[in-house]
Amino acid sequence: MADKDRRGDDEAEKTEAVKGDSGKKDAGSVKKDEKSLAKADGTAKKSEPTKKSSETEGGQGRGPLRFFREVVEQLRKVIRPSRKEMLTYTLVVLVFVSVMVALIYGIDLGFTKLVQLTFGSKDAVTGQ
Amino acid sequence: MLSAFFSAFRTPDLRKKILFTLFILALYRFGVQIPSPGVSYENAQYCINLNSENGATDVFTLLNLFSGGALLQLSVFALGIMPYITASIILQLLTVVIPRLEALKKEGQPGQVKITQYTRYLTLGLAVLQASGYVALARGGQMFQNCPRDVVPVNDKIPDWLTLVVLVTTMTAGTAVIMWFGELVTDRGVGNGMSILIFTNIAARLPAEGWAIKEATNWFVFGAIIAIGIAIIALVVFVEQSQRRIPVQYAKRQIGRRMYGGTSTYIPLKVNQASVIPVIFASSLLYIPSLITQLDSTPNKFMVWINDNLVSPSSWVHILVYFLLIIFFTYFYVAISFNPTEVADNMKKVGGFVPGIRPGKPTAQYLEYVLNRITLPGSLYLGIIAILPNLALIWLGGGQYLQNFPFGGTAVLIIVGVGLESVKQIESQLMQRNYEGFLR
Repeated sequence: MADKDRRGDDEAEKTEAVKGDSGKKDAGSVKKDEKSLAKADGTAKKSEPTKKSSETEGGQGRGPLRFFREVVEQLRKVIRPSRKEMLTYTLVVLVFVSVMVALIYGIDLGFTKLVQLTFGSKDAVTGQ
Repeated sequence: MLSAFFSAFRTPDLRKKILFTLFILALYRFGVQIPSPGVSYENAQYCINLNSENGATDVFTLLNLFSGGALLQLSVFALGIMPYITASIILQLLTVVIPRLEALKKEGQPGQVKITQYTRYLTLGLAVLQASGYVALARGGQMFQNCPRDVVPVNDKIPDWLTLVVLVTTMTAGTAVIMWFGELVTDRGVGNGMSILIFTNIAARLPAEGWAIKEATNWFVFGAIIAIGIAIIALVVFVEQSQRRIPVQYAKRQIGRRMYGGTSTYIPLKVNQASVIPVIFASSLLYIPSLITQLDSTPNKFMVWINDNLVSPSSWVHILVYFLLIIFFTYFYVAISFNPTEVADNMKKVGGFVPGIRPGKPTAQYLEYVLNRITLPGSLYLGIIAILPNLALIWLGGGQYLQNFPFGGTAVLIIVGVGLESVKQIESQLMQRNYEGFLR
């Protein structure tokens, strides 16, 4: 993190002027860089400079495949809720939903009776 | 945790908000029960019972779930919030197409107010259309096929056209009132009014639907379905809580004699940034073909094709279209609700930047890049959860009890989404007053 910050402050302007927009790569992890390099060796043997200039959004490869790799890369950086958080949230949602369902059911029951008394005849009240 | 509920009620301001929301909900449920003028309450009840006894599941049963049981009773609120949802979809789609609307949107607050006003007008227009459709259906006996009694009985003293006009007017007015309720809840209550009303509709049907499943099968299957439901709830919570955090560093600066900034925070990008809106949009769009087939009952080839492929919830075309619509609307809604350029500009103004990326346009591009990639799994998740019950329909051979849960995935998504949203809002209000919340 700290390393990246420094880059952003001092160096980024110069390097980015050369590399075009590949500043995004700096924000990406080192791990990704290794992986994408390996991938580049394996599949398309494009020369480094063309890739750097053509790539505006980071990641190598072409078309949907590249997109999916980038999706996975972003997913890795997603912060997931902890176990404890999950438990409380699920429980709270369950309690909230059951309270609301019970409440609405009660309200409905009352109003149905009321409306039946007002509009319904006997055979409607007793039910079909 | 329960004590948090009590402390929520002990805070005067919050108590007022919660009670107000509940009051509006009660009013809403009341309107759902009141039959429209000209409708025979008795006959409607009789036909509904007959329908449910036969286990008839057609389009209207699905719609009934969404309108909270109001539609089949032809009550004052028979149309529910569907017209409003459809109107807002149409307007949001049009914003992309019509330059004038786009200009309005860019204007900010006053433009937004105008767009909201247009949405309301469009809602009323759609409401008139739908109300006429439903009234015609109810009159022609298509709404309750094989029910001997007339839902809208012929009255000798009142001319026919007057009854129909009054019915349509009442339903349209009902929609307007619902719209108003929704906005009131958004302004003065807890949570987003529209979502809360949809939540209410689904919650109102849950006990009856659950009971129907239990009656149709046994306790074991019932328990299994409940367990699956809880598992899905946990999954939904998990995805809703996952976020990609984009670090933001603020530059230190001096204003007068004080130092500001120098801190680092993050922009939270949720995996599912759009929440439940895409599901609501997609399902309300998908019910339009079923409406068309009902309006035109002459069985020509085209209608039969629509009925077999688009309307039937167990057909592959239906599932695929639903799935794709959800993905489309997820991207669409994220695009209109989160504006990377605006966020980047704001960051620039207050002296913030993402480490390693220049402020301004590159930052906006970066945000867009991350957002587009992170939304794909989000949209896939929404789509998969929403079509789960349809898949179950196919695998289990369309069992009777599953037919009762046609919007199962959608319903769970909406319920959990709205539940989380509302609880979080109450939580943040509690936090402002230094109480311990629900979600420690």
